[in-house]
Amino acid sequence: MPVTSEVLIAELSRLLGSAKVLSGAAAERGYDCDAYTVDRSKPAAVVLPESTEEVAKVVRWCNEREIPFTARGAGTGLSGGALPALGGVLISTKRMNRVLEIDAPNRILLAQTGIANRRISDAVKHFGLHFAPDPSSQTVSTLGGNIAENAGGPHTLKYGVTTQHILALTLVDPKGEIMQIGSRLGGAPGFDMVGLIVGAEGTLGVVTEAWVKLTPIPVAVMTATIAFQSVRQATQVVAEIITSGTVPAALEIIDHGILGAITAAFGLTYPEGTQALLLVECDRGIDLSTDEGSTPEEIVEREMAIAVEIGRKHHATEIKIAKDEAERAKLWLARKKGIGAMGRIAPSIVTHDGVIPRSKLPEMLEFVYETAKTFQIGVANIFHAGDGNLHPCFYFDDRDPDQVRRVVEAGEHVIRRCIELGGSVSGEHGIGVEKIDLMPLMFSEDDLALQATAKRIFNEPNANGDTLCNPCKVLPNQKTCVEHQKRWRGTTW
Amino acid sequence: MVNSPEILLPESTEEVAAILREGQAVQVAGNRTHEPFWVKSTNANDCAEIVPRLLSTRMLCGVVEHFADDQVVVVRAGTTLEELTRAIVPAGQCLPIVLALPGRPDATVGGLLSMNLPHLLDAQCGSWRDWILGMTVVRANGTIAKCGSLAVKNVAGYDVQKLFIGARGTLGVITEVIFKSYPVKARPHPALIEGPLDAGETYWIQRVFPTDFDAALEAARESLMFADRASSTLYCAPKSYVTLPRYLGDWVIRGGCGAKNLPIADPVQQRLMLRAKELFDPGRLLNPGAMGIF
Repeated sequence: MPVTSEVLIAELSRLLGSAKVLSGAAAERGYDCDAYTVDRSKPAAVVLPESTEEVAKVVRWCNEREIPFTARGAGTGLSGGALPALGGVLISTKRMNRVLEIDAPNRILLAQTGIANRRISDAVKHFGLHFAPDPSSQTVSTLGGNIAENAGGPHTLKYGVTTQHILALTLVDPKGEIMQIGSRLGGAPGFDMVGLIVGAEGTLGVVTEAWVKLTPIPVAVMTATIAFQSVRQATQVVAEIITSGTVPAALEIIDHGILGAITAAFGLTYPEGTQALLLVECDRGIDLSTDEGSTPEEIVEREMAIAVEIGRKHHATEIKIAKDEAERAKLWLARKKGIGAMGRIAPSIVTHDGVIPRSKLPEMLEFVYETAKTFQIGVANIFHAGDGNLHPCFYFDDRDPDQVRRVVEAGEHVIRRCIELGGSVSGEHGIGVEKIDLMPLMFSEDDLALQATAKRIFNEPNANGDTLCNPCKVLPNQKTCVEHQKRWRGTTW
Repeated sequence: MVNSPEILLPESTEEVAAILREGQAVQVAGNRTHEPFWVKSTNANDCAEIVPRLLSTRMLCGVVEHFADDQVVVVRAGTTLEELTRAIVPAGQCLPIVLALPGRPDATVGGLLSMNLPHLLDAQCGSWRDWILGMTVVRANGTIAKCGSLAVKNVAGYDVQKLFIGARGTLGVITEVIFKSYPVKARPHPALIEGPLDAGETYWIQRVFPTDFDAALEAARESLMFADRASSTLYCAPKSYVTLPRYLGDWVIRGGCGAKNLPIADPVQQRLMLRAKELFDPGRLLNPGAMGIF
């Protein structure tokens, strides 16, 4: 039975201790959305468990009381995956941030899922290892959030997205049962349940611990930025690097909109008339060699030479190759701080996440600029070009309802085009609540029914089609959600 | 042996759907190249006897489209890995998958990814799951559904296709697969430790932790065909009376050992798999017996 908020807070406090339960205006304000700020919904209470057992206790209590619950890591998600859409209990993994076991010889690590992505790599750096997925939010975004969203990042071009680095996990299922799923060795016989849970946006339960695969830190790395007078030249170069058979570690494009912000924020300058900057990184570990007799350094130099040559052919105006680690960090600055620098230009940004087959990049980018013109809003692009993963950042003033409306419409316009080109509505940010209405553009009813069947393995909806575990995410037309959507949709409009 | 099974050879996804809509049990297979690995394959209660209808995907073949510039290739499930390779090598591309067991040129991609046996570039390039961008499947009730997309990165909705990889055809019939391809020139070479055997009546594929690899290698000795240190996987062909040691956290897939071929012992994994089977194929029409536990 649903309870009053006083009873709810009193009971949760009895369960966990009052120091682990937050409520009131500050908690409501702090947890009513993630980094997708367009939709907001207040949680009734926020809990800060420290262990799997405590998470299970809360989930079981939510089941007894029929109260919805939503897990949240650092709140850096960009599609509203951690939005407590129907209120209820928000389970923050903030205090579950410990490394539990490091097995360096076998290159695996066990951590609680509230740990920041970067801290995993920090913990094993002295073994020459790292955790390869590197979302741009990695200094704060958590392992649990990365698992929920199947996060990507610049280096996933070569090293693969999160799902390729998660071996086994501890799941508190939607009813509160604790389950150990997967094999620390990977590839074990049987159905790939870990593969289903990664990317499920926290709708199949709360992942509280995970065994992750560690990857040797490359021994040879070369980074370059190549400046172009047109975005089309840069995208064309990316397409040609890919077809050349070279496999760079990262291929990122930053357009003039972002570069302007970078110049304003950090004083970095680019040649007059630069419309796009391409960042190329090539790397090599000790484990892999196709060219017997070549050192990793030689291989990396050869790969970079190919990329630079293609850049020259397309009239690059400036090619900078980092000579040392400090210069490398400087070249990466534009990519890593780009979105942050945008904050100087506009009060609000919505970053989209469409993905297309890579050869379609040139025409797709032109489409994005056209769209911004049509809808009369600002756009800047900073994206994982090598994967065909766009991130158009529409910037606007969220105090103006008409601008917000145009931003949402422009986003949908771009995403529709991605689907027409054979791509997807999301490359790495997830569906959450943001793109839930766009799912039918990409999938038929039968396709969605297949996904719904898979969801039921862990999370069986009630007779109304509703569930308590992170409701209103991923799949459209969950009944109660449709009714409630009006309440949180575009609260800031 | 009883009468040989009725063999159904659909040539399209729609034809597969029409067969499944009839609501009768079917044995789903490609070219049966990995039959020794099927559960019960050497048992008197051979699956073919229980299920007199064999749905072979071997006529459901051919490359649908190769998007060379995108390094993406769409194929029908009955296409052999060799045929797929032949189609994309002229563009300098391949799937970086080197089958562990030689002499199986007829192996279809649908069959191979349904078996999901380890391969010789597993550690360097990843397993089947890492090269599949999307799929078309026919569900047990005859509904056609798609997952994934042509993009190399995609998080739209649940990653359902992962469930079908290694499911041995028990959750649905895969009819089309979208693969990511890889530059031939970047493909590493397998580095194998050779053992004394070439083949055997029974197979023992064992993955152990790297820290147990040398001990496992030493123990395997005359049963060893070859071993891959990079993925710490041993490929053995032990005589029926030989017992090879197990190591903490390892896993084993066997061939030629009937019901012992696919040991899934973990009770949680068993329960989840039974639940999945109940949801995807409540009538238990697809490959009955193929997972051992159902």
